[in-house]
Amino acid sequence: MAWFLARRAVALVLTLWAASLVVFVVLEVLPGDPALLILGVGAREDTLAALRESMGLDQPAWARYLNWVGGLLTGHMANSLTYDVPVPALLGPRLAVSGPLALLALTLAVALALPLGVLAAARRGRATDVTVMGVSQLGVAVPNFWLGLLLVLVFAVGLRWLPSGGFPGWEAGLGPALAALILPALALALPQAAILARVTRSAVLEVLGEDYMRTARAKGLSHAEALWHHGLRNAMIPLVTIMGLQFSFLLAGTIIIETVFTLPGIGRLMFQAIGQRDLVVVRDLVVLLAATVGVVNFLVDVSYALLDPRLRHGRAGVADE
Amino acid sequence: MALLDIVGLRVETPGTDGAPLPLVDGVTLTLERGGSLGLVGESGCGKSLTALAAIGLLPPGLRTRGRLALDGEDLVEAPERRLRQIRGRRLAMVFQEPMTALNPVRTIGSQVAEGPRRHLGLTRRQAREHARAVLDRVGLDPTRFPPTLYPHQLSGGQRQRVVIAIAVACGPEVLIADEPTTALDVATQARILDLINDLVDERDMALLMISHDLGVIAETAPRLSVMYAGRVVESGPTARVLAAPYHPYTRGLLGALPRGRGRPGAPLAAIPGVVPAPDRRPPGCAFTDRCPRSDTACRIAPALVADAHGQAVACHHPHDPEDGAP
Repeated sequence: MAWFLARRAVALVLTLWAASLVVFVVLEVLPGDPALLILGVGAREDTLAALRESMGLDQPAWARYLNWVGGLLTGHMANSLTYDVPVPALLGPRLAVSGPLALLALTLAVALALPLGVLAAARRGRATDVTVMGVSQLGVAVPNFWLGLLLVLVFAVGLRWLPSGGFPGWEAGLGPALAALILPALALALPQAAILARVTRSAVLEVLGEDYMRTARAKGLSHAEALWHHGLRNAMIPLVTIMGLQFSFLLAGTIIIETVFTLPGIGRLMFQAIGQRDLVVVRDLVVLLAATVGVVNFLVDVSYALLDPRLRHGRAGVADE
Repeated sequence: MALLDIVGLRVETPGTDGAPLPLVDGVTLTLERGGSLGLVGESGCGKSLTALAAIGLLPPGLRTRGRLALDGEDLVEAPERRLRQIRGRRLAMVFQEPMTALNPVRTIGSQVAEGPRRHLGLTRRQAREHARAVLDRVGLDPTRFPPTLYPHQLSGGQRQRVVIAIAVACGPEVLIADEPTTALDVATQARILDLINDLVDERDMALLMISHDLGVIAETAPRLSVMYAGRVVESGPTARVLAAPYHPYTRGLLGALPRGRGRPGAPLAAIPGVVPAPDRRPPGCAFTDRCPRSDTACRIAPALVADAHGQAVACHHPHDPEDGAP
């Protein structure tokens, strides 16, 4: 188990290192001079040179890479080109929006998808199954930003139950802050829940056909007991993989959804930073997102090992018969 | 009264034209308390379906008809609730594939303890102790094979011992063993058969041993029934049936056994053709198309008729005992 975790941790570090290299190189070959961007095209050449020097742009690429990575590791990141504040100061309040949004969306997706998927599998071919699969097919096909707009039309404009966008801040109280996150979280969660419900159904159906389920039934367990005590844990193994993958899509989805709902989160910051060519913020954010995905994948691997003993210890038998 | 009484058992699947198609067609078997019965036949002859029907775990879509009674209590019409009390407690089953019959993510101890906890009213701790004792009895000494092991840490033969432990954990009256040694190597087969025989004697269980292998049947069951295409074609005392089979199919099976006296490289004897699919069975005797003795009389299904020694055959042209062994 320790060996397994150690290998995964090394893989995580290598992935992050590769991600930082790719981001740095890509932004390096992109045309554009940050000094010119800040001072404008009318700036004098000696002013530009002075700014380049103060930003460290006159140093060779490898030195700037080391500086940047060193800053990431110690938390002393460069200032944003457009806001002229250190990147961590920009990130803090936005993480307080995006973090809870992603968690809420993930929770909603799982809470909807798992019971529906299991139900559909247990009632295979019957009306419940057909309904769940039909609705989820629709959910898979609908893009999340369109769903977001639809939710706004119905619940904000029509029924006036929830705000259509914006974020009052956590200091306004838990109620208003959560109310502002429900619609965007739903817009993110429903398409994911649709996929997850379908995967759950097929994972459970596969497990239902396994020999050990028949062994369990032969002990006197009912269908439901066999599924609960023997099936679900086996079915979770493929599901955890999909959930890990979905988390990446969720992060990508926040970029669009936070823009649709004008939420001051990480996704919206990313969107604006790209628009404003704030490359300092862009590269730090990309590494942050890569790190998040990497950590989630690491957690997925850990949960594999928890779910499946075959990954915990080697295959070696105790003795041969 | 027989302990397990199966009379005219049919297992039907809905046919393509709506008429039910019998996969098992009128099988009659009786198992006395503490007795052993072998059920032999090629793959697809319906022996496993017969076993699954007996324990009430047929795949979805199949239905059971006929009489199926445990100690006089009807099991065909019994509610699922009642069957759950019987399964694992009074009627238990050993499955063919030890590699897949165990749950890979649960310890062997917990899988053995599950039945006793449910049926014998044991506490968690008592059930754990009980499981340990049963595992020890089937040859998995807890000092070398602690109950906290997972199935993947065991070999095929050891896993089959776990499957057997699960089956016998609640002291069932009837043990159904469906090809329990088919997936194992020859040396392991013999030890697993010995274990089953010992357990059956020691606990006075009745055994229904299902196998395609006449050797396995000969070692475990004093009586046997031969199935072909969903029907019993011959039954009787194992020694008599094997020494002088009446039915051409039983003779074919015996003739197909590879023996030491054969010349290396010589083709193995085989019954020509294959078992007909349930929707292609000829009318009358299902063996007609493959039988060297068949004629027009065989278009009418023969009844199972017993001789004075209890050896019964369903054939219009049975072999003479004087023909000797094939």
